[in-house]
Amino acid sequence: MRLIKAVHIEHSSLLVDGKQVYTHTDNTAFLKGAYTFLEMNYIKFFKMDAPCKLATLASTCLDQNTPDIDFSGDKTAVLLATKSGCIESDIKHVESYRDPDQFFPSPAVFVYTLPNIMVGEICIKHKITGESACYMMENYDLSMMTSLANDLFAREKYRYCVLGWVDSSKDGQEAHLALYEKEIE
Amino acid sequence: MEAKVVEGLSELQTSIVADCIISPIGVNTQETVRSCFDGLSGIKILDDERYDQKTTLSSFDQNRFEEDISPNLSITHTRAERLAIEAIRKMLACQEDLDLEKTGLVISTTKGNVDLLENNPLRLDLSRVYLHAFAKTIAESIGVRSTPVVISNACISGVSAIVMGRKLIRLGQFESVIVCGVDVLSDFIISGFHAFKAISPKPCRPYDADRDGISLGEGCGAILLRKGSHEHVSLKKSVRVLGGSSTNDANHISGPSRDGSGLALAVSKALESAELTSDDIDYISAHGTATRYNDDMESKAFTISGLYNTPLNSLKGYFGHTLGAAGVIESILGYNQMSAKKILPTHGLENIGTEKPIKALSRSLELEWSKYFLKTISGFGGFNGVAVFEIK
Repeated sequence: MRLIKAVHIEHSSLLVDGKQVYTHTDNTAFLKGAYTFLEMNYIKFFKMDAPCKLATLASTCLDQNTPDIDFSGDKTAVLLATKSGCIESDIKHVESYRDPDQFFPSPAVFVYTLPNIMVGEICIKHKITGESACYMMENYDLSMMTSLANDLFAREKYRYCVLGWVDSSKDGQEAHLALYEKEIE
Repeated sequence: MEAKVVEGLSELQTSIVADCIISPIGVNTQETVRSCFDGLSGIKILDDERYDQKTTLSSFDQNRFEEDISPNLSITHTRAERLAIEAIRKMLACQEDLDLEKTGLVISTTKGNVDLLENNPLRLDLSRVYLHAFAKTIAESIGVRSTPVVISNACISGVSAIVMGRKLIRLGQFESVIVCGVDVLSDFIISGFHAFKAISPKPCRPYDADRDGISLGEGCGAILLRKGSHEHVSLKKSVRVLGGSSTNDANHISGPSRDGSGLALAVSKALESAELTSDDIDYISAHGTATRYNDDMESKAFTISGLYNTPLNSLKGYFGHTLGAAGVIESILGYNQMSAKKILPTHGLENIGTEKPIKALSRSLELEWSKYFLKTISGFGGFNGVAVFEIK
């Protein structure tokens, strides 16, 4: 498979194909700053939890400045991996019901207590209807993820695959997404 | 006991050779199957003053759980871990020739040990709330050395895990793969589904005109996949996973697509991977959560797929929606029904009330000749999953 583009978000910096395109000194302001920088104009973004924000920022970058590539539809797969998943939303949800005197579980929080929601957000943003999956792992297993993408290219009618790692926890936020294309022989 | 070779060994085939369901209506597959055929349901109605409505769910009797489910692990392991370990151990009891060194493990769960965040009476290491750590604990207890693959694709996780197990064998990574789907109920899940107003105050009634929401469930399903063609140890038949797929609605993160196109696409991709057409399918073990939108969406998807006349049922009325375990438990029940040549009625269904007419069974159906079935499932994140099975 052929790498079309790679996007990295870490240490409050956004890198496209290894080149820094945006950075912010303040961690919490970074996500909103990057949103503005990318001219996303996507109001849903502000409802999302951090992993979904990271995932959609990174996927938006994959989609920019590539006029010849349309990865919408069912020829594209989105396979993501994460360690922390939605742990921050989990904790927020627990805080909403643990105290019987302050009992206010909210659907807007609960919906983000599934780690695969960030895959769903990427699919909605880019109208991707193909294979979608979320794997939980301690460290990014590049060889497993690559072999899954290669298998989709080899045995099924996939042309593109968004592959990567998104993780958000109190220790930091990062997203590493790559867009691959099937090698045409 | 050595699994008998049914036909010429093909590297590409993936057989299901053993399984175990542990549910509130059965401590193993046989007992769960029997309870379903006897028309039993594990769903209870609870009245919790914190919620506006009653809660319906199928949960384990806590005293029986303590006695029956890995009691030796009661001070070192969580409920979800004990359930998974017990199911896998039971399943492997007659698999002495299984080489665990060459065996993979795929765990599917939506929330694993999330209850540790609300209550940790055993003072366990909180890092076990991470799903990779949850899976590692299970792997260590059963003696699997490889790093488990952990899938958390919301409600479709169990079907994804079976398809993944087949893929790992086909990619040559393992000779055998254990697939285990598990989820337990806690305030976390119950309060969340109440916040969504998705829980029915009466036992769920999939596909019925009067359906008004889900009944939650907890349980575990484990299956053992082996490369090649092998007989299932208790059914004495060949049960194979022929293919599968997942798709995304790309529509909404918490509601199903209105038109059923995402699930229909998953059906067509799965049939293509199994080299079958919709005419070949004898039965569908469908999702049928009993929410208005889900069941209507399925009826539209099956219409698009040309499956509106194929017998189908939802098993949620027997043991609720078991979340990340549902795909595995309901697949096992799928081939057990096919083996018995009798399809269960949809517990709770009286009058079909889906937007498009489908052949949802309200009474049991005797099958004459049957070979192929689909397990279909959909969930949050806009995910749809389909697995194709053959039994002969």
